[in-house]
Amino acid sequence: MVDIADIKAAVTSAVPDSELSVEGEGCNFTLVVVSDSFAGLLPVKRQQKVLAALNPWLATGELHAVSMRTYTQAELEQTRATNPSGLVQLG
Amino acid sequence: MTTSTTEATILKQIETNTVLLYMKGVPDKPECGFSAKAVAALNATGVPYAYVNVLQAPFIREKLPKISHWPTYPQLFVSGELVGGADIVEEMSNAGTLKPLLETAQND
Repeated sequence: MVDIADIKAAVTSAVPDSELSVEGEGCNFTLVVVSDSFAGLLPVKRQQKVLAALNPWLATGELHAVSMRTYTQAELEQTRATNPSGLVQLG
Repeated sequence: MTTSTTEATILKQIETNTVLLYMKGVPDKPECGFSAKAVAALNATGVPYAYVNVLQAPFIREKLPKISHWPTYPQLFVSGELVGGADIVEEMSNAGTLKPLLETAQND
């Protein structure tokens, strides 16, 4: 059973200066990862960086599904501005 | 099928199919919610695409993540490049960038 602290530790070490929130339990998680190191990267490249950190659990199938949103700080501010419903919380 | 033949098969599939979806199940009957999302987004563009049901191709299912550096399914390739998984495909569909991407790829 993967716990959220392990996921946070793995992603923060793989993605420099990242902030993230993780929801979910068991084998199905939703991540919101914010890091300026994403600037200029295509969504697929951003997610590959994060997924690489989760590979040990993904490979064993302990982690089955991860859905993810990746932002730079600027993009996050912009997303918050466009939908003030606070859709994006950071834990 | 030895690893090298599987890898060669995958590389050939990616190269020869402009729009290619590696998924669990088949478009008419996806076997996983994420694959279903990608299929819905692709169908909405009206652009034809090829697919591989990795549930029927265990060698490919096991090998592709090592080639694409993407551990989960579905995986969408356009003009030989990985575009992403269900999230990205859905995000592009919502943002209206998926259809133009597929149409341009087809006309190349």
